[in-house]
Amino acid sequence: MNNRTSTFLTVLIGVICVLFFINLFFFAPERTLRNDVLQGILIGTGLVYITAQIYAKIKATKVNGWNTMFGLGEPGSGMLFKAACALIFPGPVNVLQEAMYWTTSGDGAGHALSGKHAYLMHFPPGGLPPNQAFWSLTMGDAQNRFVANPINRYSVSDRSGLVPNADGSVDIYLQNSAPAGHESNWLRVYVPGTAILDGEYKVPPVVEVQ
Amino acid sequence: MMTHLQHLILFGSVMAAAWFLFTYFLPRLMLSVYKRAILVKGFGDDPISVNTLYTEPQTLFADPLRAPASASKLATTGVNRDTLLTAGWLDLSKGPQVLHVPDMAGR
Repeated sequence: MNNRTSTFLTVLIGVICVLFFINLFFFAPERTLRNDVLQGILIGTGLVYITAQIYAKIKATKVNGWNTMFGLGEPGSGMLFKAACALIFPGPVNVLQEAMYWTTSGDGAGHALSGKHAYLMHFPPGGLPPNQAFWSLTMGDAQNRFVANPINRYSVSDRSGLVPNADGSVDIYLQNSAPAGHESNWLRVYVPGTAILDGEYKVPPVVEVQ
Repeated sequence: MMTHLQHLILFGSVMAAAWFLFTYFLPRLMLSVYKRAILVKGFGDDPISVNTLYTEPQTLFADPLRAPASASKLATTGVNRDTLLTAGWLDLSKGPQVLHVPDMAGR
Protein backbone atom coordinates (compact mmCIF):
# COMPACT_ATOMS: atom_id res chain seq x y z
CA MET A 1 0.00 0.00 0.00
CA ASN A 2 1.15 3.48 -0.79
CA ASN A 3 2.30 5.82 1.96
CA ARG A 4 -0.47 8.36 1.46
CA THR A 5 -3.28 5.79 1.46
CA SER A 6 -2.02 4.21 4.67
CA THR A 7 -1.66 7.61 6.38
CA PHE A 8 -5.18 8.52 5.26
CA LEU A 9 -6.58 5.20 6.56
CA THR A 10 -4.73 5.58 9.87
CA VAL A 11 -6.11 9.10 10.40
CA LEU A 12 -9.63 8.06 9.33
CA ILE A 13 -9.78 5.07 11.70
CA GLY A 14 -8.18 7.21 14.43
CA VAL A 15 -10.84 9.91 14.11
CA ILE A 16 -13.63 7.30 14.18
CA CYS A 17 -12.17 5.75 17.35
CA VAL A 18 -11.73 9.14 19.08
CA LEU A 19 -15.30 10.21 18.23
CA PHE A 20 -16.54 6.87 19.52
CA PHE A 21 -14.66 7.25 22.82
CA ILE A 22 -15.87 10.86 23.30
CA ASN A 23 -19.44 9.66 22.77
CA LEU A 24 -18.87 6.73 25.14
CA PHE A 25 -17.45 8.69 28.07
CA PHE A 26 -19.05 12.13 27.82
CA PHE A 27 -22.50 11.38 26.50
CA ALA A 28 -22.92 7.92 28.09
CA PRO A 29 -25.44 6.45 25.64
CA GLU A 30 -27.76 3.61 26.64
CA ARG A 31 -25.76 0.40 26.30
CA THR A 32 -26.73 -3.20 25.61
CA LEU A 33 -24.69 -6.38 25.91
CA ARG A 34 -24.75 -6.74 22.12
CA ASN A 35 -23.32 -3.22 21.72
CA ASP A 36 -20.50 -3.95 24.15
CA VAL A 37 -19.34 -7.04 22.27
CA LEU A 38 -19.79 -5.78 18.70
CA GLN A 39 -18.28 -2.36 19.34
CA GLY A 40 -15.45 -3.96 21.32
CA ILE A 41 -14.52 -6.16 18.35
CA LEU A 42 -14.82 -3.31 15.82
CA ILE A 43 -12.89 -0.70 17.79
CA GLY A 44 -10.29 -3.31 18.87
CA THR A 45 -9.72 -4.27 15.22
CA GLY A 46 -9.47 -0.63 14.16
CA LEU A 47 -6.88 -0.01 16.87
CA VAL A 48 -4.79 -2.94 15.53
CA TYR A 49 -4.35 -1.09 12.25
CA ILE A 50 -3.50 2.19 13.97
CA THR A 51 -1.03 0.74 16.48
CA ALA A 52 0.72 -1.36 13.81
CA GLN A 53 1.04 1.63 11.46
CA ILE A 54 2.32 3.95 14.19
CA TYR A 55 4.75 1.29 15.45
CA ALA A 56 5.98 0.76 11.87
CA LYS A 57 6.58 4.53 11.53
CA ILE A 58 8.55 4.53 14.80
CA LYS A 59 10.62 1.48 13.90
CA ALA A 60 11.29 2.45 10.26
CA THR A 61 14.71 3.88 9.47
CA LYS A 62 14.47 6.97 7.29
CA VAL A 63 17.46 8.05 5.20
CA ASN A 64 17.17 10.93 2.72
CA GLY A 65 13.45 10.20 2.26
CA TRP A 66 13.97 6.42 1.85
CA ASN A 67 12.36 4.01 4.31
CA THR A 68 13.61 0.65 5.46
CA MET A 69 13.05 -1.70 8.40
CA PHE A 70 15.91 -3.33 10.28
CA GLY A 71 14.96 -6.67 11.83
CA LEU A 72 12.59 -7.74 9.06
CA GLY A 73 11.87 -11.47 9.09
CA GLU A 74 13.79 -12.11 12.30
CA PRO A 75 12.16 -14.37 14.89
CA GLY A 76 11.59 -13.17 18.45
CA SER A 77 11.06 -9.54 17.42
CA GLY A 78 7.78 -9.19 19.26
CA MET A 79 4.12 -9.35 18.37
CA LEU A 80 3.70 -5.65 17.54
CA PHE A 81 6.83 -5.53 15.36
CA LYS A 82 5.70 -8.61 13.43
CA ALA A 83 2.28 -7.04 12.86
CA ALA A 84 3.95 -3.82 11.67
CA CYS A 85 6.19 -5.78 9.26
CA ALA A 86 3.17 -7.71 7.95
CA LEU A 87 1.48 -4.43 7.03
CA ILE A 88 4.52 -2.74 5.50
CA PHE A 89 6.12 -5.76 3.80
CA PRO A 90 3.31 -8.34 3.44
CA GLY A 91 4.09 -11.94 2.55
CA PRO A 92 7.38 -13.80 2.71
CA VAL A 93 10.44 -11.55 3.12
CA ASN A 94 14.16 -12.05 3.24
CA VAL A 95 16.22 -11.44 6.35
CA LEU A 96 18.55 -8.46 6.34
CA GLN A 97 21.70 -10.44 5.47
CA GLU A 98 19.93 -11.79 2.39
CA ALA A 99 18.33 -8.63 1.04
CA MET A 100 17.84 -5.01 1.99
CA TYR A 101 14.93 -2.98 0.67
CA TRP A 102 14.42 0.78 0.68
CA THR A 103 11.21 2.34 -0.57
CA THR A 104 10.15 5.92 -1.13
CA SER A 105 7.16 7.74 -2.50
CA GLY A 106 8.74 11.15 -1.95
CA ASP A 107 11.83 13.06 -2.97
CA GLY A 108 14.61 14.16 -0.62
CA ALA A 109 12.75 17.43 0.09
CA GLY A 110 9.68 15.50 1.24
CA HIS A 111 7.46 16.19 -1.78
CA ALA A 112 5.44 13.32 -3.25
CA LEU A 113 6.99 11.80 -6.38
CA SER A 114 5.06 12.56 -9.53
CA GLY A 115 5.47 11.67 -13.19
CA LYS A 116 5.06 15.38 -13.97
CA HIS A 117 8.58 16.06 -12.70
CA ALA A 118 11.99 14.74 -13.63
CA TYR A 119 14.24 13.40 -10.88
CA LEU A 120 17.88 12.61 -10.39
CA MET A 121 19.68 10.25 -8.04
CA HIS A 122 23.35 11.09 -7.64
CA PHE A 123 25.61 8.39 -6.25
CA PRO A 124 28.99 9.83 -5.23
CA PRO A 125 32.20 8.08 -6.44
CA GLY A 126 32.22 4.57 -4.95
CA GLY A 127 28.80 5.27 -3.48
CA LEU A 128 26.75 2.60 -5.23
CA PRO A 129 25.25 0.16 -2.71
CA PRO A 130 27.93 -2.29 -1.52
CA ASN A 131 26.92 -5.93 -2.05
CA GLN A 132 28.04 -9.46 -2.86
CA ALA A 133 25.13 -10.15 -5.24
CA PHE A 134 23.37 -7.23 -6.94
CA TRP A 135 21.51 -3.97 -6.47
CA SER A 136 18.63 -2.51 -8.42
CA LEU A 137 16.39 0.53 -8.48
CA THR A 138 12.83 -0.23 -9.59
CA MET A 139 9.95 2.12 -10.25
CA GLY A 140 6.29 1.42 -9.64
CA ASP A 141 3.08 3.40 -9.64
CA ALA A 142 1.19 4.40 -6.50
CA GLN A 143 -0.23 0.84 -6.29
CA ASN A 144 3.29 -0.59 -6.49
CA ARG A 145 2.83 -2.01 -9.99
CA PHE A 146 5.03 -1.63 -13.03
CA VAL A 147 4.39 1.30 -15.36
CA ALA A 148 4.18 0.56 -19.09
CA ASN A 149 6.67 2.60 -21.08
CA PRO A 150 7.85 2.64 -24.72
CA ILE A 151 11.40 1.50 -23.94
CA ASN A 152 10.33 -1.35 -21.60
CA ARG A 153 12.59 -0.12 -18.82
CA TYR A 154 11.26 -1.08 -15.42
CA SER A 155 14.45 -0.94 -13.41
CA VAL A 156 18.02 0.27 -13.40
CA SER A 157 20.63 -1.96 -11.84
CA ASP A 158 24.25 -3.04 -11.73
CA ARG A 159 23.50 -4.91 -15.00
CA SER A 160 22.30 -1.79 -16.84
CA GLY A 161 25.75 -0.74 -18.06
CA LEU A 162 25.59 2.63 -16.29
CA VAL A 163 28.21 5.07 -17.50
CA PRO A 164 29.87 6.89 -14.60
CA ASN A 165 30.68 10.60 -14.72
CA ALA A 166 34.30 11.75 -15.10
CA ASP A 167 34.78 11.84 -11.29
CA GLY A 168 33.45 8.28 -10.87
CA SER A 169 30.04 9.31 -9.56
CA VAL A 170 26.87 7.91 -11.09
CA ASP A 171 23.70 9.83 -11.99
CA ILE A 172 20.41 8.03 -12.51
CA TYR A 173 17.61 10.00 -14.15
CA LEU A 174 14.01 9.19 -13.28
CA GLN A 175 11.69 10.91 -15.67
CA ASN A 176 8.69 10.49 -17.89
CA SER A 177 8.04 12.46 -21.06
CA ALA A 178 4.29 12.05 -20.63
CA PRO A 179 2.66 13.01 -17.31
CA ALA A 180 1.83 10.04 -15.11
CA GLY A 181 0.31 9.63 -11.68
CA HIS A 182 2.14 9.26 -8.40
CA GLU A 183 5.11 6.97 -8.23
CA SER A 184 7.07 4.95 -5.75
CA ASN A 185 10.62 3.69 -5.98
CA TRP A 186 12.24 0.56 -4.62
CA LEU A 187 15.93 0.14 -4.06
CA ARG A 188 16.91 -3.43 -3.32
CA VAL A 189 20.30 -4.87 -2.50
CA TYR A 190 20.80 -8.62 -2.33
CA VAL A 191 23.47 -9.98 0.02
CA PRO A 192 24.21 -6.44 1.21
CA GLY A 193 27.68 -5.42 2.39
CA THR A 194 28.55 -4.68 6.03
CA ALA A 195 28.24 -0.90 5.56
CA ILE A 196 24.55 -1.47 4.80
CA LEU A 197 24.03 -3.94 7.63
CA ASP A 198 25.68 -1.53 10.09
CA GLY A 199 23.42 1.26 8.90
CA GLU A 200 26.44 3.32 7.80
CA TYR A 201 25.51 3.34 4.13
CA LYS A 202 23.31 6.32 3.25
CA VAL A 203 21.07 6.06 0.22
CA PRO A 204 21.26 9.31 -1.74
CA PRO A 205 18.02 11.32 -2.01
CA VAL A 206 15.82 11.50 -5.08
CA VAL A 207 16.21 15.11 -6.19
CA GLU A 208 13.72 16.96 -8.35
CA VAL A 209 15.33 18.45 -11.48
CA GLN A 210 14.20 22.01 -12.12
CA MET B 1 -29.38 -5.29 34.95
CA MET B 2 -25.82 -4.19 34.31
CA THR B 3 -24.64 -0.77 35.42
CA HIS B 4 -23.05 1.62 32.94
CA LEU B 5 -19.63 0.91 34.43
CA GLN B 6 -20.09 -2.84 34.00
CA HIS B 7 -21.01 -2.24 30.36
CA LEU B 8 -17.87 -0.16 29.90
CA ILE B 9 -15.71 -2.83 31.52
CA LEU B 10 -17.19 -5.52 29.26
CA PHE B 11 -16.69 -3.31 26.20
CA GLY B 12 -13.12 -2.58 27.25
CA SER B 13 -12.29 -6.25 27.80
CA VAL B 14 -13.70 -7.30 24.43
CA MET B 15 -11.78 -4.45 22.77
CA ALA B 16 -8.49 -5.42 24.42
CA ALA B 17 -8.98 -9.10 23.55
CA ALA B 18 -9.83 -8.26 19.92
CA TRP B 19 -6.78 -5.99 19.67
CA PHE B 20 -4.49 -8.68 21.07
CA LEU B 21 -5.88 -11.50 18.90
CA PHE B 22 -5.82 -9.51 15.63
CA THR B 23 -2.33 -8.13 16.28
CA TYR B 24 -1.04 -11.60 17.10
CA PHE B 25 -2.62 -13.28 14.07
CA LEU B 26 -2.10 -10.43 11.56
CA PRO B 27 1.13 -11.88 10.02
CA ARG B 28 -0.59 -15.25 9.70
CA LEU B 29 -3.64 -13.66 8.07
CA MET B 30 -1.42 -11.88 5.53
CA LEU B 31 0.53 -15.07 4.81
CA SER B 32 -2.71 -17.01 4.28
CA VAL B 33 -3.32 -14.74 1.27
CA TYR B 34 -0.08 -16.10 -0.22
CA LYS B 35 -0.98 -19.65 0.76
CA ARG B 36 -4.27 -19.29 -1.09
CA ALA B 37 -2.53 -17.76 -4.12
CA ILE B 38 -0.14 -20.73 -4.30
CA LEU B 39 -2.52 -23.60 -3.53
CA VAL B 40 -5.71 -22.30 -5.17
CA LYS B 41 -4.71 -20.03 -8.08
CA GLY B 42 -1.06 -20.57 -9.00
CA PHE B 43 1.14 -18.21 -10.99
CA GLY B 44 0.12 -18.81 -14.58
CA ASP B 45 -0.49 -22.51 -15.04
CA ASP B 46 -2.49 -24.56 -12.58
CA PRO B 47 -2.65 -24.31 -8.80
CA ILE B 48 0.64 -25.40 -7.24
CA SER B 49 0.00 -28.47 -5.13
CA VAL B 50 1.46 -28.73 -1.66
CA ASN B 51 5.16 -29.70 -1.38
CA THR B 52 5.75 -28.73 -5.02
CA LEU B 53 7.99 -25.94 -6.21
CA TYR B 54 6.92 -23.91 -9.23
CA THR B 55 9.05 -21.39 -11.11
CA GLU B 56 7.26 -18.52 -12.78
CA PRO B 57 7.18 -18.69 -16.61
CA GLN B 58 10.02 -16.94 -18.47
CA THR B 59 7.37 -15.03 -20.44
CA LEU B 60 5.91 -13.55 -17.25
CA PHE B 61 9.37 -12.54 -16.06
CA ALA B 62 10.15 -10.99 -19.46
CA ASP B 63 6.86 -9.09 -19.63
CA PRO B 64 5.67 -8.36 -16.08
CA LEU B 65 2.80 -6.19 -17.30
CA ARG B 66 0.82 -9.05 -18.80
CA ALA B 67 0.27 -11.92 -16.41
CA PRO B 68 -1.71 -14.96 -17.61
CA ALA B 69 -5.41 -14.50 -16.86
CA SER B 70 -5.48 -17.58 -14.65
CA ALA B 71 -2.61 -16.35 -12.47
CA SER B 72 -3.10 -14.98 -8.99
CA LYS B 73 -2.96 -11.18 -8.78
CA LEU B 74 0.05 -11.65 -6.52
CA ALA B 75 2.06 -12.73 -9.58
CA THR B 76 2.31 -9.08 -10.60
CA THR B 77 2.07 -7.44 -7.19
CA GLY B 78 5.22 -5.65 -6.14
CA VAL B 79 7.89 -4.45 -8.49
CA ASN B 80 10.66 -6.99 -8.99
CA ARG B 81 12.68 -7.23 -12.17
CA ASP B 82 15.67 -9.01 -10.69
CA THR B 83 14.83 -12.42 -9.34
CA LEU B 84 12.97 -15.21 -11.11
CA LEU B 85 10.48 -16.39 -8.53
CA THR B 86 10.03 -19.96 -7.42
CA ALA B 87 7.09 -20.52 -5.10
CA GLY B 88 5.65 -23.43 -3.17
CA TRP B 89 3.83 -24.24 0.05
CA LEU B 90 5.55 -26.88 2.15
CA ASP B 91 3.79 -29.13 4.65
CA LEU B 92 6.44 -30.33 7.08
CA SER B 93 3.99 -31.82 9.58
CA LYS B 94 4.36 -35.30 8.07
CA GLY B 95 8.15 -35.19 7.94
CA PRO B 96 10.99 -33.15 6.51
CA GLN B 97 11.36 -32.29 2.83
CA VAL B 98 14.70 -32.32 1.01
CA LEU B 99 15.47 -29.42 -1.32
CA HIS B 100 17.82 -30.51 -4.08
CA VAL B 101 19.53 -27.58 -5.75
CA PRO B 102 20.99 -28.39 -9.18
CA ASP B 103 24.41 -27.14 -10.27
CA MET B 104 23.77 -23.46 -11.03
CA ALA B 105 27.15 -23.00 -12.73
CA GLY B 106 28.28 -20.37 -10.24
CA ARG B 107 25.10 -18.29 -10.30
